[in-house]
Amino acid sequence: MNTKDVIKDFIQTEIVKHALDKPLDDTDQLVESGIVDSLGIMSLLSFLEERFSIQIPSEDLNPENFESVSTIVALVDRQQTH
Amino acid sequence: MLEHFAMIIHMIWEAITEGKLKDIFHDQLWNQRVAVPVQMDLTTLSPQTDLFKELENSYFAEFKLEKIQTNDWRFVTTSRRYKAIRNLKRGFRGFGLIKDAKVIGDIWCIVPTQIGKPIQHPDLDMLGIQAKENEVYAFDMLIDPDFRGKRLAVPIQRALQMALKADGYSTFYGFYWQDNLPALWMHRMLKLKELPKRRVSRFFFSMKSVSFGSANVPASLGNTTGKGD
Repeated sequence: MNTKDVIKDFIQTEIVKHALDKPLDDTDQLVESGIVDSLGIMSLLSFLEERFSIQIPSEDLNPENFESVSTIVALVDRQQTH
Repeated sequence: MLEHFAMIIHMIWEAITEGKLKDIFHDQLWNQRVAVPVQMDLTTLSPQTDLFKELENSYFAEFKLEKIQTNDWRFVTTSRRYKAIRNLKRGFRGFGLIKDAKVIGDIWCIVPTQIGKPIQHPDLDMLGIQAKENEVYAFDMLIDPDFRGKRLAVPIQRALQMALKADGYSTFYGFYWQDNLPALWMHRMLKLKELPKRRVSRFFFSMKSVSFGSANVPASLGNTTGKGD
């Protein structure tokens, strides 16, 4: 699986934990819809740092970077190229 | 004074019965813990209604001493009730989200008590904030464990800010510990301006706080308004 699919799979199975009306889309609003909230961000951050061997600095922990699967993938890519 | 001792005794008892005695000491002993002061210009806050529309039979209200003393409102723990009574007697203002007569979330603030007299609070010294007239400081929010994960923290903070704005206050201060990820996230959802961080060391009543670096503000948090959420 590529980065995008790995992240989608984690969000679906570990954060949402129930069947969605439709498969998670790259641009679905994760923060606005409440999928990524103050508790969701904890598990997502741990997963991203461990799975992709990156360290996400606190400055990057803002809603804009987690608003969709696409923005999360971009964040991971940026950290991997550091 | 009586409420303060009652609060302490109940806090210790609750910590013992819940196996969290260690946490009480953890709150008194820090070394180089990073605090992030935050600020908001309340005058730019956009009106928002129905902040708690998803929570039936709930309302946001300012605490009144009589209602707490007569148990019209029930708190999540006995120590929290005593803390509320103590805080009100100290002149702090408290607000709660109340559902079916139970306080499921509460938050506290200190506001100027006299015209021309800025607020004073030990946290402000720790945070390096010199409040001016008409500025307020909010602290100590607690959400009932049964209601955590229901996205109430941001609306409770926002409801407080709107109440304070309605009372004519201009600037809102608060802070979070950088190692508290849920608090960090909540403050960033609120889009508060982050002030220069402080490194804080505490040993019971002795505290040392040092500013370091400049405000490390993500580009998206450069504004101080409550717009955008």
